[in-house]
Amino acid sequence: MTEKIVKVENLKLNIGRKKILDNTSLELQKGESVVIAGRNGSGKTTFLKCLANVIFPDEGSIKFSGEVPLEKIGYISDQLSLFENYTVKQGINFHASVFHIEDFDYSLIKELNLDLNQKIKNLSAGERTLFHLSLILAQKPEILLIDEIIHVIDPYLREKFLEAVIDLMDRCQTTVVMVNHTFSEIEKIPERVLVMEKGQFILDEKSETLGEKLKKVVSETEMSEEVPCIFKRELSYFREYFVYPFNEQLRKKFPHDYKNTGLNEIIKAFIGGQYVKKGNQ
Amino acid sequence: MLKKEINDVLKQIVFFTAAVLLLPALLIITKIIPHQSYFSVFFPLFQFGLIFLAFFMGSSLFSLEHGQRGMEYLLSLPYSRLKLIGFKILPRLIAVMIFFVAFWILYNTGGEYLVAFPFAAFAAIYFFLFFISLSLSANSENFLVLFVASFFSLFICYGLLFLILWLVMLIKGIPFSPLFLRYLFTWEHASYLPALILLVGSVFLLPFLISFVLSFKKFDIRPAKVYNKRYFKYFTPMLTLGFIISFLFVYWSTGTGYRQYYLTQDHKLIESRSYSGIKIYEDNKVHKVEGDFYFWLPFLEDNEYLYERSYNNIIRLNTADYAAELLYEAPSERDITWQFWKYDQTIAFLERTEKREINRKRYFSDNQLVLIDEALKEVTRIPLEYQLLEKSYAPTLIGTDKIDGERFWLICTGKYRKNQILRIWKDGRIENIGESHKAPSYVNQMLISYTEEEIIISKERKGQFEIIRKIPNSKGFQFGIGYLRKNLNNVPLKELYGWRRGPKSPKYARLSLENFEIEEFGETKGYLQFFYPDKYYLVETAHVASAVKVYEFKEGKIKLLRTFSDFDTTEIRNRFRLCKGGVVIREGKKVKVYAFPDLKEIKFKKL
Repeated sequence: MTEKIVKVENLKLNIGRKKILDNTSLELQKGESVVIAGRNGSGKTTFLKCLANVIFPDEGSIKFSGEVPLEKIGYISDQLSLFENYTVKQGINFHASVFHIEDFDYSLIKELNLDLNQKIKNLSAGERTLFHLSLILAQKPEILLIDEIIHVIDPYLREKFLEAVIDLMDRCQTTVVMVNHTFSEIEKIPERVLVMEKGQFILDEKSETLGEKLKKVVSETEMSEEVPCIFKRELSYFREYFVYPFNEQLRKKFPHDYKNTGLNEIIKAFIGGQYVKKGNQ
Repeated sequence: MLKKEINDVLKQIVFFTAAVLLLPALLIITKIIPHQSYFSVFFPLFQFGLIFLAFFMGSSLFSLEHGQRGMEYLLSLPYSRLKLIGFKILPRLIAVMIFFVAFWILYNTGGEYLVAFPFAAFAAIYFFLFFISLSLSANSENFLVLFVASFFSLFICYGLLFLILWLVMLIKGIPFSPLFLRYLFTWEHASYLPALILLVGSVFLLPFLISFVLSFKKFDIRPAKVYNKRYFKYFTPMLTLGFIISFLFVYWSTGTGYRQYYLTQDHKLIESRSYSGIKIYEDNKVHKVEGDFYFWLPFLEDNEYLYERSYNNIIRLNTADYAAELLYEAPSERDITWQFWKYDQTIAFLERTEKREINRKRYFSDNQLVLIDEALKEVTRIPLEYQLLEKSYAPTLIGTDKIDGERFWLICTGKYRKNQILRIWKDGRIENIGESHKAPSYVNQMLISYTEEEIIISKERKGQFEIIRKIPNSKGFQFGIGYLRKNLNNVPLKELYGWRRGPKSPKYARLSLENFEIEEFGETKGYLQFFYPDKYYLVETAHVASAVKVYEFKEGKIKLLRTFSDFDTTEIRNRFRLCKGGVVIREGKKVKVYAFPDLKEIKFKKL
């Protein structure tokens, strides 16, 4: 997992006067699985679309390792974009011809009991998601980009979806980048967590170490500004502070009740709370 | 990917083809357009339909993807943007070409007179609209917006072309004619203009196409205004550059138009330029003739007057007071023939309405002999209701005379070796006088006609033409001033000159009108020119000789007047013109003038 597969440097993208990506940088390793969380409008989907070649940034660069052709990037958009007037069969044939797929795996199609002559626009959201995934899986992508689609599918299909993704990661060392709000839906997958705010990654940690580095403090009073707080949330009678990066020396210097917190709570609090700029840390 | 695009295009054109074939039938059956043949309804509908198809093919590059929410999927496919538009443009371009070829075939097999507007104009609009709408296809998803933008852009291109032409003419001092505006849309006449417009128009097309290609390299699913901003960042300077290049090209290639020269018998040089009007050079002076007139070649010179046909008008130029006036303007639907005659104070010509049948044969209806009295400024029309005149391309007036104060005219019409001679009276009566094997003449109040072996001399007696003489003509000479003569005044002549074919070159002879003897006197190649009343010149053309030579026929002899050995006949832009006053040579921009009687060179300082 030490081989770099994607290097993103200083992406900038504006739409009108609004900054969507602001000097966004990232490196991904081969076989890595990453989840990107953040508020609506923070730039997550736009970032993913840049990786998928659907949007061009105004500045910056995206470099894939020399061995990754465009055919090996699989992208499932939040719009589940396909040629809707095609039938399932026509969609498969088209995708196979473009991506040079010789043996198409119909297992997911069969599990869904999809009629091959049915038009794609007549599929339900869940069926469409799995169908789209089956197209992408057939490509055997080296990079899989998934944009906020988990929530539209029922728990059974969700499990099928995730199993397929994990299987792909095991078989093909596929790098997976997912954009999602709810960590609990996908907790089996991501090894790395990124949180995006106003076009920048404000948090980039391995999921197994995130719990050690990010702690929650509940306090009725203001906390010292010397404590590195990444975001805070004000509730009716108290405040929640999320301290990052935490170390044991902080416990000694600023004796508060530093609690472990799960990723779900972190992300929920972040979305509902106030991001404190890193300059304060 | 290409297969997908081909399938998409095929589906689109099937609907179009069905509509364009069925709609005319529907309109006829339901009597919305009654009493018309299928093809007379089909062709104009097909033409307009094709224009819409051209727009649709260009603008619908991404319409299917937008319509089925497949744009992101399309952009995520493993193709560069340029390859993507290549896949999309190719089948559409082929479809547009196939339909154009189909239209061209139908146009040339009977559709020419059924279409709504001329072929060249249609072709320009068709392709310009296709490429403009194609280049704007990524600027908006809205079909109506694209429709308005494409047609508006087309009109902007035409408007810019018009502006350039107007500016160039303003700078060069060329009078602007509303005809140019018509040419811009119909592309008829003025043969240089379509090529100019096509070239210049293509320069305007390039900003659209180049901007599209450059902008599309970074096309993505961001709002259209992001793409449009990039598009216009390329488009604006390129359109400006295109305008400048077009302007410079039009300025360079627009000369001051065609130049024609004519030397009068009193050695005044008439210069006529298609844009600048007429000037008269004499000695050290030049006089500008007022008015927007243009001479090609005067059909008649009579003392100080020159007469010329200009389109469907007759112009008279007075070389004494340097003024021109419009003598006659034909009604728009009428056509005046290329031949004119004059006798006394009257200009005579034939006027008719040209018709075309579906098999492309021409015929002429409502034939009239039109007489313009110059002094009274009156126009008299004599109807010529005679079947032979309906199919005759160039009937010739060979003479006019009076019997007991009543005037008649003699017209020759018909085919080679079977000329019919008709006598026309003022009340419209037409008499068939007889046939002539060769072109007849009316000289010294005698009708000279031909059989295969003889020349027949007839004279008018008691309402009939009676043969007074038959001259053996076994060699087949033709004293054919009938076609050369424009002044029909009955001035007595002593002789006529004619020719016959020879094994190597034509042979010339003189016919004495006193003793009716034919005297053969020479052999040479060239063309004969006659200037009323008694001047005959022969111009020996250089394709049979190393130089151009001019001879005069006089008293039964050929006299060489001058050899123009320096004149380069291989240069197609050079012109050699024999006029009543002498010879005018034009080589490139140089003009040289040689005056009768001996064709010595004369100079005009202001030329």
